[in-house]
Amino acid sequence: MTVILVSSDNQDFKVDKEVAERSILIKNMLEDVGESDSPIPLPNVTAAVLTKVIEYCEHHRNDPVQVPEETDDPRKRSNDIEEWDMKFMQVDQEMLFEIILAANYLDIKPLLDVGCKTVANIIKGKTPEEIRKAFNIVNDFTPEEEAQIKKENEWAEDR
Amino acid sequence: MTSPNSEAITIPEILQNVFLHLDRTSLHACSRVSRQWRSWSRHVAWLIYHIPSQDIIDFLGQRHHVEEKSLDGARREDEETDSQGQPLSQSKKPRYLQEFKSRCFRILSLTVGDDTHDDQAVLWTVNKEVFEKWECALPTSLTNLMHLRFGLYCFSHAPMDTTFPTDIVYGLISQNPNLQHLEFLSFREPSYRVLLTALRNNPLQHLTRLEVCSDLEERGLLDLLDLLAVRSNLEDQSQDLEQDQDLVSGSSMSNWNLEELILRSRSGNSFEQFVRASRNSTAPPRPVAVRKLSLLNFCLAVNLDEQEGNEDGVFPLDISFLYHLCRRFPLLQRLQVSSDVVDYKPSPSSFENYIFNHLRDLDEFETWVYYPTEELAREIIKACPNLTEIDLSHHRELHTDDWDILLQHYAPQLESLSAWSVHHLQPPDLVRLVPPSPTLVQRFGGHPSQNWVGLQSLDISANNSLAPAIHMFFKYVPTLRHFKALGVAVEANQLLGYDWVCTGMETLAINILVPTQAWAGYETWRWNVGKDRWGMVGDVNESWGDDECEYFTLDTELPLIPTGQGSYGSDQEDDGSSDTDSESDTGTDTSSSSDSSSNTDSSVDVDTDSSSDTTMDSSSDSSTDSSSDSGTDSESDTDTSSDSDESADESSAPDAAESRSTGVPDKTLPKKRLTYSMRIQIAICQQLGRLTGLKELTLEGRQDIRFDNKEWDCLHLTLQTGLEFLRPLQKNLTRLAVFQLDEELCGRAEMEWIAQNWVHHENTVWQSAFDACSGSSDKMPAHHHLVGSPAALEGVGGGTPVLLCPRFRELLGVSVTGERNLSALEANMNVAWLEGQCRQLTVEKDVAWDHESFFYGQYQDY
Repeated sequence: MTVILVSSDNQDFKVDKEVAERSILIKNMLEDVGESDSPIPLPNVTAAVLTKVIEYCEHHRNDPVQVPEETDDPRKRSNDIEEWDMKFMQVDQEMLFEIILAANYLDIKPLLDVGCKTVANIIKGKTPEEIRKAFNIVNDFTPEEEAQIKKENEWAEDR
Repeated sequence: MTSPNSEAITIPEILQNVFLHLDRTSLHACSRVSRQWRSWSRHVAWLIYHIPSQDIIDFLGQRHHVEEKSLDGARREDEETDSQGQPLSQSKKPRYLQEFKSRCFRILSLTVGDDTHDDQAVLWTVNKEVFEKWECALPTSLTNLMHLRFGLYCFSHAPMDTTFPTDIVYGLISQNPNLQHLEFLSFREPSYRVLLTALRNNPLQHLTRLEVCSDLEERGLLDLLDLLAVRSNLEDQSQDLEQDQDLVSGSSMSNWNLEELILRSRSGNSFEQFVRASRNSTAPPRPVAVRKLSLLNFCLAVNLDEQEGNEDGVFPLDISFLYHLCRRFPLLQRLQVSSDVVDYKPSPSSFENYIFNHLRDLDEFETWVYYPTEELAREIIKACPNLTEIDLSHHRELHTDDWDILLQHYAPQLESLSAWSVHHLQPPDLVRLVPPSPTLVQRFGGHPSQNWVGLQSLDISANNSLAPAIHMFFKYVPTLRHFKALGVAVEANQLLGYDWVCTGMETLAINILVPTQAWAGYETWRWNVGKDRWGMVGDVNESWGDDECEYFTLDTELPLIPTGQGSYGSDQEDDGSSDTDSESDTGTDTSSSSDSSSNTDSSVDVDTDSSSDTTMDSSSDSSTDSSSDSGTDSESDTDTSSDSDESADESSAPDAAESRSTGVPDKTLPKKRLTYSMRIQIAICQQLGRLTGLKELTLEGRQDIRFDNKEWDCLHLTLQTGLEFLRPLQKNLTRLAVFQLDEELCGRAEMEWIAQNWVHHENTVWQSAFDACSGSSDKMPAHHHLVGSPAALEGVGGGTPVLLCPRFRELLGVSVTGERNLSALEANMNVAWLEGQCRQLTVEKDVAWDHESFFYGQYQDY
């Protein structure tokens, strides 16, 4: 069975139901609507991004469902990214964040995790200033606040 | 504030998700980026908290009020100090303590104390006077823990009568009912008793994993297992409730869903008490509903009286620790009774030396005890029919027959076997885990092995007798992902002539003997239809009836390595300069081979007496299954060292085409004269290069070794000997360890190759800079074009490219002693250049001249 997804720029995408249901949002929608040929509008996702999301879901269509306990354990976070996922995420930063937003909206946790791991890998090893430059973040600390934080971090290093 | 492009990371749940993947150092950096980032990074940082040993008293205790009289007799308040005597007024701690107490409700994972018992940590311990001034006072909001790791080693020198540490243990467990994982590490027996009491008296309904590292007293294991049995409630315990009142206090406790139990001994406690008590008990053992069990570093020896055995020296089965243990765990899926080797890291000292120096000597403590043949294995199978993971390393209770029975039974369901340093495990037993070849299965019209789960992990390190079985796994077990055989030297010939099927391999540790010339005489495995198993030809225990065996032919040969590779990078023509193969040995039959018999070039091994080395027996020949299909119904696995046919096969285009599956030499490389050893090395590298899923690779081997009256070589890992074929490993390789390998990686060309192909293969900026320098690494500045640097982030074309950190992070054990063809200075300079190209790459140099090699030391010919 196939479903039709409609992007924010009114482009239709026909995908297998099994693939579409990698998105918990879509899965719940389909359960609520029941058997229907009505297209599913996704006003928050552009065609370009939806293409990438569908590509991901196609590739991972047979993956087992993630166990919530494993992902909720803060100690079990792994930074390993599969080779295919790593290639998939080799996009420009704008697309990277669009994918993350789409994964969050569509509730595709594995895709969200991969996106966040990718961002985490960008952050690692950088100074605060380098991080700001990478993500165009404005420093809104006062000089006094910055001094205070630096002093606190000295003690908290080994915590 | 952020730009629209970074809107995603302004969403708190996404930002938190990102931070959960960061280590503490990165979190600290994030806390200084902006106010929003500070808020969330601190939130995440508080999810996992560590109270080091020196702060336990301050964070989890409170000081008694102490008054002192001044010299003039007036009562004076004692100045408040912290646990280390520093006046609080001068200490930073009050602010941090206040922050801890106000935020500790967020903590999900708490580590208290250190898990090390090294001298420095022990020396810190507070004295008795300090203990007298403090009492346990846990923050009341510290109640949401899911994971608690408690290390009490720091209190090892505390007075025995102090209850402070045990009060903390009991208190933390009692006020955290949602605990899922509990790890308890202690030197001292009283605190183990407190742990048992805390476990008895608290529901802990969510507890799924319990790890205890302590000195268990004599009854320690028994009491713990009895407690777990009661909480498991696998049987109707109603009749025993009255007797169990001392085990479970108060009203009935809910059952646990304990999945995993890990017990580690600090000092090699003996299980003799457990065995004796179990043996003398008239009641059946109480079952425990644990699915994963690990017992590490315990001494399994039982002091036996000769009178306990019969006149043949056979002891009753109920003397066996494994017998009594397994009967208590009917639901077991993972059984691990071995020694802990987590401390072993790649180093100049071999794994066998590590065992010799750090683990108990089995010869000294555990003698050979004879049980009734195969009975122990059958009892284990009966008690634990669902095992999928077995680790009985460094263990002697099981004998060869037991291993055969065990592996035969569990082969269909076994996912993992760890049997390092298990000398009773022999090759015929091990190959129980190898299914028949696909050709045979097709001929049979199906075989039960098609439904096997498939072995994924195998560790047979430190057992050299298993070398003849190794290649069978590379040939017939495609599911293998983790394979370790440290110190088990396998002949390269056995690994060639076919494509390795285990292309999903992620971890590989292997010791490869590279022959310097062709010779014959390898063990052969033959599928015994009647017995439905592989049998070793030449094994006196094997009977091969005509009606039940598959035979192989003796007169079929296939080249061990792809033909047309007489010169690496050549155009395949024999120009006579490297025709050592075409003038190969004469005077031998067609089923034997040698090479280079007439070439006296010093760069080529010369065998002037080839006949003695080419004596054929029935056990050496072609090494592919299809080769023995010529006209007979035969299926066997044989090996050959023949390559004297290379002269005849040089023109065989089909053979050259077939060789593509095992790699085609790069024809752009300059023509080099290849020795037999070099060609073998290239072929091995071709196979290694197919394992694109490899994350960790450990290679062992020695050059110029004489063993079994033959001379051997190893993988050199140079560009002339196949390094280029390892390029595909760039996909996933994170670590290469070569401490125990006589490699020659420290050449400049090799270092550049690693930088180009394993480190910066996706860094177009680096590659451009390297090419711009005409490939001259001397002109290339260090640290300049690093992955992730601001310069590297500037892309070409639209958008900002996101460059990821290189996967390859560790190169361990590269030799810089300058032994071969390179001075130590040059070697060190080359390695330093590589280190400069990627600061995220860890390079450990091997500067040892002499390596203690267990294998070669014992067996090397003199």
